[in-house]
Amino acid sequence: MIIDIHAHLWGGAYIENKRQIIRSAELFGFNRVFISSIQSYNPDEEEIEFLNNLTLGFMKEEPELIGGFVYLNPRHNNKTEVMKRNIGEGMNGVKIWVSVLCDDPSVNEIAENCIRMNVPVLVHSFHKATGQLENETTSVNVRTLALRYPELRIIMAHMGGNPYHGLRCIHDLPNVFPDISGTPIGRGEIDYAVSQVGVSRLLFGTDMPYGGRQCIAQIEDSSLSEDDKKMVYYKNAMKVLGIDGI
Amino acid sequence: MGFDYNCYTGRWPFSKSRKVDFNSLRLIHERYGITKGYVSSLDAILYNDPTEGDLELYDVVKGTGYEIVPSLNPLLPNIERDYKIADGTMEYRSVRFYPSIHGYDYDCPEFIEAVDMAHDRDKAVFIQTSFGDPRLDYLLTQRMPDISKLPGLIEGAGNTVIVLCNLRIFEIVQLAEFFRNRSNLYYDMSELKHSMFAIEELAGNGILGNAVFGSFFPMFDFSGAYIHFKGTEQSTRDDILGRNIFERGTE
Repeated sequence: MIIDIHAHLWGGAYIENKRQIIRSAELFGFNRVFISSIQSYNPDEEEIEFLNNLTLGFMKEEPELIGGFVYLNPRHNNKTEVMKRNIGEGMNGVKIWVSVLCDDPSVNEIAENCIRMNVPVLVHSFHKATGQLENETTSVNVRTLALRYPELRIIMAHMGGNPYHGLRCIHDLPNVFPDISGTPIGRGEIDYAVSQVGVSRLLFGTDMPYGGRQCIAQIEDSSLSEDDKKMVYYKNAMKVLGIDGI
Repeated sequence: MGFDYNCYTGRWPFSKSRKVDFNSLRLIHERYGITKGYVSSLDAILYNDPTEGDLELYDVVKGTGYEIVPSLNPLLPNIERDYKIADGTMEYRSVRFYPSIHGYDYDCPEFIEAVDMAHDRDKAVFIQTSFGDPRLDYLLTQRMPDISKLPGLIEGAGNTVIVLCNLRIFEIVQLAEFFRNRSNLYYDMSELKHSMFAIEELAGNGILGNAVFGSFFPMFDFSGAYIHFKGTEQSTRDDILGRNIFERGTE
């Protein structure tokens, strides 16, 4: 069984994205794929509604396969209303991308809602030696948020971008779950991640349609035992998402 | 028969070494049916004198059926000396360049001269267009060369066989017209990670005939490149894995 905790529809290409996600799930045996729909870095309220409706639409088209994260811009006054409506429609968590740093005070209301509604928040996190976007979260911000809300379950995307940079910030925070999605591909990164946070907090994700095959390769080429692979492929995700079965 | 044109042994000093020795490379090649690797030394890239790393590696690979690909830094003075050392001590058919690590562009006169020297010796040229994701190098920062200058370098190299390694898929597609017109120009599969269906995309652009297999192991997981064969025809896999650049280049 495989749960992909981190995939996307891109606003401008969602029809093609849906096709790729379904094909990939068939090819690689993904049982569940959790998506969020994203487009511009600072979406307005109208765009947020459009994107979340894409996610809901895909969930309804493929109910056995697709789960969803509500995409929120924490700057918006209606964020709690948007969150409640979409969680009520069956979404499984919240996605924050690059409109604010994740430890910005505007995120507090979302964090408190996540705790109250018992859902995780998936936070984009990517340290780039070549320069950050203006409001691009790194693991330093994730640490601040996690310490502020120890009951909040945080999925730290991409292992923080560079796992050697990202994991040191959250190694001692049991409420932060790094996902392996995205383009980091270095040999030994999974073994390093396990040495830092243990196997029980690592989550499998791809970042589809923006690649993702290498994420499977990373697990398969790692030193993980077959039992440990199961934890990364789906058991840890079920725990974070609070779901019992697929 | 299968070839890996982009593989290494040695130490990369920015993280704990895992599976970086020659035996680890051979074992993973055997598991995937790769019969021959064109292998370079990670040490040589960062040595002040790359030839010292090449000579260390040659002692390891000679007689194994694998071929050494000496590493060259054209910004060092008198690069002809490095070729002469290789000519006098090694059996080799290709050389490898690292512009993003050593810090020069594709129109750098010293680089062009070094490629000319490879041409004069009938050696193939491997160019590492990147050395992993530059966003992640917070200790050693790569300086990415301007890809728009690649065509000029390649046109000037005549019929020299050139393999562009670690070219990202959108860059390969960007150069599609250029690949289609050249039977001596190849790209490897090590950086197809930004596409779930890369081989289809490359076939759709009519440039699958320029693909060779390169894993970039042990910098990347070996399967990171190989996994792109999943879901493709066996004949496609066999064509790419078995593509012999040294035979095709002399046709």
